[in-house]
Amino acid sequence: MMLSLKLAFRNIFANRQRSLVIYIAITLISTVLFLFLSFSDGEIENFTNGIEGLRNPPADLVVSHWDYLRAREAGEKAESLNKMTVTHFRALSEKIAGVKEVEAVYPVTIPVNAGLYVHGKKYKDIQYLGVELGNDRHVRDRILITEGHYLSGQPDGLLLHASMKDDLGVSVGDAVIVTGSTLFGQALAENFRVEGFYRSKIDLPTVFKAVYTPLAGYGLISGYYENEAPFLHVDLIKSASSEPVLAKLQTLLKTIDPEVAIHRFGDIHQQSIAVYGAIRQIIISITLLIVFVVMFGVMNVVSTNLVDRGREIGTYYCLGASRGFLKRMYATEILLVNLFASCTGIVIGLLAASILNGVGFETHDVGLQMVFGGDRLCLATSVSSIVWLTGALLLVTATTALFSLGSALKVSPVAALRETQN
Amino acid sequence: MYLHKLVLRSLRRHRERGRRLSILIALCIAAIVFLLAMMDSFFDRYVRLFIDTTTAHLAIVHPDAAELKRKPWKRGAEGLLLIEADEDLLSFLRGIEGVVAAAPIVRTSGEFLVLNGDQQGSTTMVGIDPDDRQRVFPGLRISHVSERRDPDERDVPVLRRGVQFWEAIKVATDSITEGDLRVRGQELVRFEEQARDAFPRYFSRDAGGDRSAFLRSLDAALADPLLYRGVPDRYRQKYDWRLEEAIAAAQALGDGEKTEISRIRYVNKQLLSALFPDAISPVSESIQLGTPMTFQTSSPREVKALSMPVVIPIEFAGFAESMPLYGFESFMAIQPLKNYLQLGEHEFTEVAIRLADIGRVDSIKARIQEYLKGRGLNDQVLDYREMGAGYLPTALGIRIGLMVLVGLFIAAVVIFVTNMILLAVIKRRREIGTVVALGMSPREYALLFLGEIFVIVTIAWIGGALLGSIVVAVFAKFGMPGMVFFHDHLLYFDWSARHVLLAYLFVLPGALAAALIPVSRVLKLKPVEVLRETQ
Repeated sequence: MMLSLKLAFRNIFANRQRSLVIYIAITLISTVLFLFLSFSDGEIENFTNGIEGLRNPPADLVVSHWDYLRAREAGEKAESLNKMTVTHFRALSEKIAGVKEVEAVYPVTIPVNAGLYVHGKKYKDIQYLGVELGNDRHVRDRILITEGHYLSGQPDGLLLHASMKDDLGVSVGDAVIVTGSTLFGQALAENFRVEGFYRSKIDLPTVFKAVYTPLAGYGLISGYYENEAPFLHVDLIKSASSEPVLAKLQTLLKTIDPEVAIHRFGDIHQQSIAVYGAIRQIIISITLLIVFVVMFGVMNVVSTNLVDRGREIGTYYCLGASRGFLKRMYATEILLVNLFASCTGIVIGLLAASILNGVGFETHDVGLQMVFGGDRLCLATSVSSIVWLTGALLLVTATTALFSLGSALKVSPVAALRETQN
Repeated sequence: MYLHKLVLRSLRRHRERGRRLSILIALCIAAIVFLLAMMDSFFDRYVRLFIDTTTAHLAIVHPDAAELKRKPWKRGAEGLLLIEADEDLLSFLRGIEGVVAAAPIVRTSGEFLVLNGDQQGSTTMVGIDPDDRQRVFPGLRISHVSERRDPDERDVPVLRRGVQFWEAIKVATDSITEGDLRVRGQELVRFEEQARDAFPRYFSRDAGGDRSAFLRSLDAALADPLLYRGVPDRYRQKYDWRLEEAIAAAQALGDGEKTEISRIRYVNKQLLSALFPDAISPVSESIQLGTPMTFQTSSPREVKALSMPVVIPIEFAGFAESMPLYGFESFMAIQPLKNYLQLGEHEFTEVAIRLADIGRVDSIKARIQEYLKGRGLNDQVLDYREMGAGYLPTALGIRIGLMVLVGLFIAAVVIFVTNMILLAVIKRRREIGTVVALGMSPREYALLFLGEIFVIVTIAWIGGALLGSIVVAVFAKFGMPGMVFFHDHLLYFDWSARHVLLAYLFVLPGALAAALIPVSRVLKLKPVEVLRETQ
């Protein structure tokens, strides 16, 4: 094995011009494919950190009503799920925060769809979210205040998206009425005051209608009691592993509050990335098509190269090399070139992605924002993309070795020697 | 001028390599034809889809509504933005050459409510004359239409918007498992006792606390068409409409003709969940045609902080699917909608216009604008590009992505051709030396190489175009699966000679340019050296 590896290395450099062609082709293709997959990863990352991050800030663990997960799986409607909350969440937060692996615990609300009545006009389907002031890093870190100030703590304070300033014609200090019905169907008409406008750090048109209010105000809009919250999100310290802490907290919660349960984040919050998921599927299908054509190209180049290296193969035979040994050696040679090329492609892709991310291509065009998943182009890297890409190129190598080497190694040593003598 | 003969002879001599290169280029050309067809088919069909189902080619709207249509992410205030469309306007529009149909429309948004008041979904309700609907929106996929209607029926028939993926019931409706139970601990023990007490014949007395045996018994009870007869009277002493409805449904099925077992299990599960609402999760109501529903929308004019909604009794008469993923339009006849909304005879939210030829959009738009101006009307005319602002980015994004891939394939051809000619130059040095000795100049030999590439690419183009066209034809016939943006998630391709020609025009110059790099080596060859090498 070591000998074939050694010879494969030597052959790569002995035939560097030919190796270079395959190397360039594979590098180019893996760079482009990597950038495509990065774009798709970036769309999803933008969406997850932007709009989804504001609604359901990513956390390590989530505390919910004990029956919430089962009821959702059983297909129970929002009317019934909305009633399943974490009661006495403040006392519970304190207990959970006391665990040494826990970094932060904060309440997360569900959006309440209600209207906003301002200057004699009513706007429907505004989404109201509550924040607990002082324990709201998950919101503060994701937004920028464009006018006015962040929520002061007054129960009637509202923080609106900057686009609402023009769309609704509201200003800081304006009195507005939140109208419609609570989560439990009671009529709702409560006076609020606009305290400021924000922009999400990763903006998307779908975030435009999210309005923040302190938990006390959210209680008026949603119909929840003061000490009631739909979920508690738990962030762990970096060095902590989530599974043991999950088990530890499950035991703790069983004793202090059997009405709640703690889960992994992904079990509770399933992200709705339908469109971006569909685009990713299309991209992956097309990478398959490219890999298929590239496979033929590489097979062609390899078999042509080997035909040209007939004398070399003949010499190996004369020196006592077996067919199996030569197959192994040439397969290793192709594998090394392809692997090195795909690594180079990925590195170039990573560099290109970091340069493009560094330049920070931002757009105010809403159409482009929808395509990017946010208001900036983000090229992200995921392990699955790298595995997919490397796996595809290894498949190219394996197919090439399987179908090209067999015929190319059918060289008669006598003929090869005669050719060498000439 | 014997060069062409030499080209053919050379190709014959090196046919093995030529064949391989041809196959490779043919594959690339087939891929390019496929990608170009996919790119154009996606874009054209997507644009056609939203024109044919949602926007039409042109629409006359209120000036404020125009702004909202151009920027669909903006919020509009409650209340309808109405325009006056009288007979003169409609006659003018229908008289324009190239206009297939012009339909006045009332578009409003609201919610579907089931009889118990639960919301079943929200929709954009499009009030349009049924005949006009087919002419203006021919791409609507209308299905399951129930023709049997009672002439005295007062509920307005509605073509419900297509069922979205989140509306599909994902849990079994004909079985009871542990996941259906809302209780635990002592409450579960109490429920087990209640169930055994209510339906003793389904539960063995000696089962004790065996949970799985209890669930099996509960599940077995679902199969009994006469389960409703066993409901103890004490459960019916206090009126509960859910229970009464569940019993009525079970009775209708149990006493009626023989029916499917899954249907019996479904109504019995509903019955048990109505009987023990705290213990068994309610069974999701399926979306059914023919059942009385309510459409609730805001008042078109009266805007207050709290105002009474307009409530319209409706019945789903069928389904109408417009844009998959984004299609939220339901349809009903315009007159009843106008009556409920109390709109005047000539009051509408828009007039949708369908043209025979998309190429005439700009000229007809200008003509209508001139007419409106002449009548002193402030209404605006929007074309499908402005109204499709919410849809076009997806189509554009995919188009750009596919264009990059076409470029990638051209680059692949360039690389492979360069490799092939490089090898040929090395391999054919002796041959080059011989012909140079016989009087052919290196320039002529370079031309010979280029001629070979021209022939190889042309032959490959024929093969690739054929292969690509076959693949395109397959997708044109059966559709490309996984395309969630289209009906049935299928994208049907459109074959075009332009794609085949473009593939040739992209690849040939690329291949010739690629060949120039190794061929330039031939030009630098010194005949004396080559001859010495040959000896």
